[in-house]
Amino acid sequence: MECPNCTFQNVPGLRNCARCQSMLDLAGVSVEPPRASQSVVPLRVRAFASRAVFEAAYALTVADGAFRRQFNPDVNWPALVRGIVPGWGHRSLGQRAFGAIIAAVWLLLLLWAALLAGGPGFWPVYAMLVGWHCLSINLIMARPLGQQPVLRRAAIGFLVFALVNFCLYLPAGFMLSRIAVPLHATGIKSVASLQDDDTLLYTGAWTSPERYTRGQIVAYHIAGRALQPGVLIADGMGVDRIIATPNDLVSSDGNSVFVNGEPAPSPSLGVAILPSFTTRLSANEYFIYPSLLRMEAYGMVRPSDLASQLSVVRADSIRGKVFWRLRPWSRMGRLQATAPTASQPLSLSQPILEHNR
Amino acid sequence: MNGRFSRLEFGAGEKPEHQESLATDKRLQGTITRSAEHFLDNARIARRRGEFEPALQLFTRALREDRARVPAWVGQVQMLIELSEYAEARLWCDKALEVFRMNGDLLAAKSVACLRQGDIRSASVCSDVSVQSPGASPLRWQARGELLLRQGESRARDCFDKSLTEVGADWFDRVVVARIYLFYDKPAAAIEFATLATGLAPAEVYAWTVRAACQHELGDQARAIESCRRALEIDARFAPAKALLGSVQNSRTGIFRRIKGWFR
Repeated sequence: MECPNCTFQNVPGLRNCARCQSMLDLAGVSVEPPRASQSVVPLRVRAFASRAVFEAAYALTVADGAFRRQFNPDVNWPALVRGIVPGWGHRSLGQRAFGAIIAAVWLLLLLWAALLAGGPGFWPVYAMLVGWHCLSINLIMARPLGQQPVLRRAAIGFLVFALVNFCLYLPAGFMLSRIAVPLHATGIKSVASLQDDDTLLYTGAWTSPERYTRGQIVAYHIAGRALQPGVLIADGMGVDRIIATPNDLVSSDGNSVFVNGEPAPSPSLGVAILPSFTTRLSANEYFIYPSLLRMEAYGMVRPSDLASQLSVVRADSIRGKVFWRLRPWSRMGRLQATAPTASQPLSLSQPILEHNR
Repeated sequence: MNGRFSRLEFGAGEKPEHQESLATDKRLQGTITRSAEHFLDNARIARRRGEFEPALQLFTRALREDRARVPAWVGQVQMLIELSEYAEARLWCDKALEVFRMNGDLLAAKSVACLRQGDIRSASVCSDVSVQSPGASPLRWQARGELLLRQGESRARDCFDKSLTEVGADWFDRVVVARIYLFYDKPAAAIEFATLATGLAPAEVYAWTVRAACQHELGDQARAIESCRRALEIDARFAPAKALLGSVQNSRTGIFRRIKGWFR
């Protein structure tokens, strides 16, 4: 029995060819091919979709080939891809020591940038960090780049910088800002413990608690508003301790603040004047005595007006819980929340310093 | 032993002596020959006229007569590809490969089907195995060339040239190569092979039609019309040539085609 595939002469009775394993008994084999017309999707649509997919893939291949021809086939693409992690690309090229140096310098710059986050010194260090990363990538391409004209080299360098900056560092920064946000505190006027130029970290959108408790230090947004004709409080961020939570009854007799009838931390705005008031907070309001952090008032305004009108803060104005002091480095440390009690009331005149370690 | 020798390769026009004698005997007896060979020949004729749907039906009829005809299986897959039914072609090729394991031509056909579906990795594997498998045919090198062409490799041309040096390669294989180039929007390379085909077989209507299509794609409308007219001189009822002539005449003043021509 001859195999129709390989023409091997098999012993009669075999079902498969002894040499190529092809079927020898073809009696039950269907010979009707499947057709597109049997499909639910019309042939014209299928042909169009198939052609579209083919054209797209083909265009990509052509573009890729053109890029490789135009640029240089000598580029070590795997090493270049590994160059996303500084030092790794050089390591894969066999330059272990140089790769380690690149990685170490990059890590130092990264640490430096992290320590300067939120401050005016951050951006020069950030530029050095990204620049160092781009330099390490360009060094991987040094040989093929050397064969290119100067203008093209410059264009490629700029392209690498743009790619690294916009596709790597800025998205990473955005993700980090969802976890922790640096806040450079300037213009502190009333809270002695928080000094000018302090940099704090507060929780981002992903890490902020749903509800805040009394005693927690929070960063909140003060929306600009007019207190009286000719007086406007500018937009800004405030950092202060929560004195009362939603549904609490807050009152003041002019000297002290009471929450649900119990003495609360005595607010101090640098002046001894407190307005007398009684208010019941709604379900989404907190009571925070403003310390005038980064806040400016235009026109004539009395601190007591600020205290009474800015103290009730809506929940959606609170950006997050302040949990870390980043700078000055001598006072770096965790900021802990402590609920005020009647026996040991917290004073806003010393709100943070005594809880920061 | 006789069966082994009966499958030796012969020249393009030659047939085994004993087959001719068999056919002659049947004709003498007055019976109508409806063998697998008959349907296979008709399928090949239909394919060489660019009539792919009838060719597919004829290949199927040939298989109904004799399921062991590997060229008919390959032909079915090729016709499905020509009809743009790539998924079906791939499926059917897998089925055929279950029957005829590692058949080089089937693997080459599957490579083309995978390639047209955009699955370059599978196409590459199939083409590699197809070229290494025993036997030789123009189809294997055409599939290889198409794969390289798809990848933008200049060696594609070498594969196509190699396919034309294989035993059994004739004018139609040049037409096939021209159509592959046309599929990848390379009419300048396609017209070279189409011209070779018309030079080898000036009486083949389909060769002139493909040449006209190449000229049309190149933007040389006057020559495309001339080639269409040559085709219609040979067979005035040849529908593809008529349709092409109509589209060439309609698009003669197309601004888009002219702009496209500038960038070639």
